[in-house]
Amino acid sequence: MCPMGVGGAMPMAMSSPQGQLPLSLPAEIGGWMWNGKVDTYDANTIFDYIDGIGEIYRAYNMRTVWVCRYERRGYPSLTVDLFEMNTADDAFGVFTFERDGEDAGIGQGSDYAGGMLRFWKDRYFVVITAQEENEAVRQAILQLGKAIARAIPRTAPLPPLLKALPTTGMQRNSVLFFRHPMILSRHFFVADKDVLNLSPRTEGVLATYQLGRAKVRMVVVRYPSEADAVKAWDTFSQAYLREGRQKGIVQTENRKWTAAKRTGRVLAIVFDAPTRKGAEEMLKAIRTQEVH
Amino acid sequence: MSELILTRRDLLKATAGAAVAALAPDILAQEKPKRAKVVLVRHKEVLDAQGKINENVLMQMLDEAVTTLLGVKNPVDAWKRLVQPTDLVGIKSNAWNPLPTPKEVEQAIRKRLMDAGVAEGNIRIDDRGARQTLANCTALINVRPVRTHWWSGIGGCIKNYIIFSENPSTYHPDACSSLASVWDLPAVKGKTRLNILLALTPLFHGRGPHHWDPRYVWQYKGLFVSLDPVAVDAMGLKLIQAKRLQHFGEDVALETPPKHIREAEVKYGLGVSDPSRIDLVKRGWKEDILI
Repeated sequence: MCPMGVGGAMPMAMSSPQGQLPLSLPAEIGGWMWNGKVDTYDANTIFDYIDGIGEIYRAYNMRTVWVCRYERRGYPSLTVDLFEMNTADDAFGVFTFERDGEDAGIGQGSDYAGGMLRFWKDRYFVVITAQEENEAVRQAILQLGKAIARAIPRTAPLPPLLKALPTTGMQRNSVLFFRHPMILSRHFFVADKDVLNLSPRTEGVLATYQLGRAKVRMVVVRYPSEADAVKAWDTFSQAYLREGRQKGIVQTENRKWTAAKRTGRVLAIVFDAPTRKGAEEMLKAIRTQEVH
Repeated sequence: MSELILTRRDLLKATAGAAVAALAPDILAQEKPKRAKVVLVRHKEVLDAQGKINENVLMQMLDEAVTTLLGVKNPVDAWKRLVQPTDLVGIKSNAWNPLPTPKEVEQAIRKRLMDAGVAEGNIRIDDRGARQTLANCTALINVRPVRTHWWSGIGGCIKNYIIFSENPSTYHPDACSSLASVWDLPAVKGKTRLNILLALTPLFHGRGPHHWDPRYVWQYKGLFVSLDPVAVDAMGLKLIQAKRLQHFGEDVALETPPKHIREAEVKYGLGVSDPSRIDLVKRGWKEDILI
């Protein structure tokens, strides 16, 4: 039995193995039947299931993933990966790691493409996949996703750190929530070492802005304590700002501008602004005072 | 932080050549102008529209690849150059569920091994259990599909032996750059007679927990063979990159840099990674060949 039901509430009466799940899944959807089995993995055994990619889920503090399969004769099977993360922020974060496809309007954020539905709700992140796609598969995946989303009774607020990011000029679906340097590097390489002093208890957001023809990145990180933020400022400014460390701004080797500031336990950085003034204005637009 | 840190600024500063030279001057100085041969065979009829393999065509492709690689007219004679009747032969396949080594390929190899005089009982086929079942083999045939890979950029013939290690995850750091060291393990070292990198339906971009998306698979209908696992992977990488460029309309970098291929040459001396020193011999269907 999984000890962590949604919001502490157990779902409707369930027989084994449904009872192993934290919420109730439909037995049948659009002609696909659940095969009655549940495979369960935690952060230590995830690699037994996922070929190496398990590091992503560990970087977002995964607790458990339950795997169920739905089968229909003559059609590809559907696989449900139901991840329970440590917090709703982590569920949102792992959802933002990889955006692709159309918004399916499921859960608190979703996308669908190529026989894969991804969505998050509360502290759950759900992926439903089929090896091949056709219209029947697509409809079944979407129906199944809606049923699972309904079975998660609560919603959660978005990570408060998002309030720091200005919305003007932000590219659609460009926000990444992260805690681990590996996750940040996959989207935007800053350094091969952890110069931002990240940890499972830090919260970070990355967003992309279109400034004229330039793509500008904003990174905002909130640390557990001001001391952690000071340490991050030291390592980042030494490694990256270098000659611009004192003023908090530097023209980098691509002739663009990087600017940074620390406010309390929040570190804010603007990468690759086309002008010095642009970097300063964008840094000023980051609302660090609202989140520190 | 006193340790050397490589930042985005350093990458911006360096030209590609200068960056490589700065990172590995000793290694570059030791490079030998070795060359390698890779054969690419394609056939339009090897797959039908549903992806079902035509076994006769597949065997033709395998025969053409091996005879061209070894410069021998008869395929059985070619296989006799690769294995001895006394060998205990392991076919190291790949069981990754979305894109495994097809059974038809395994059986085609098995047939040619038997034609070359290897007893059926002395031929083993395995992936996940290879560390136990193939460790005592005296000869290995390395065969798997080419695809993008979360940890190593691409999954190819070099990576196919990671399962021989006691703890595969120890190779994950630094984009699996040390993968070639697996080839020094006693179960593997010096045993590989042929590397077959399948490009029947390569995966050129992955998504989701399983790094799989059918939209990014295409019927290329080809296979590469080489005696050199590094060279065959370098060609597989070139194909994947060419397809990404064609599909995305721009040079979209792999999620992980496939540095293990270059490291396999410059650090471990396993083979040739530089495409300019690889003789790619192309046979068969040329349409949309990409490389």
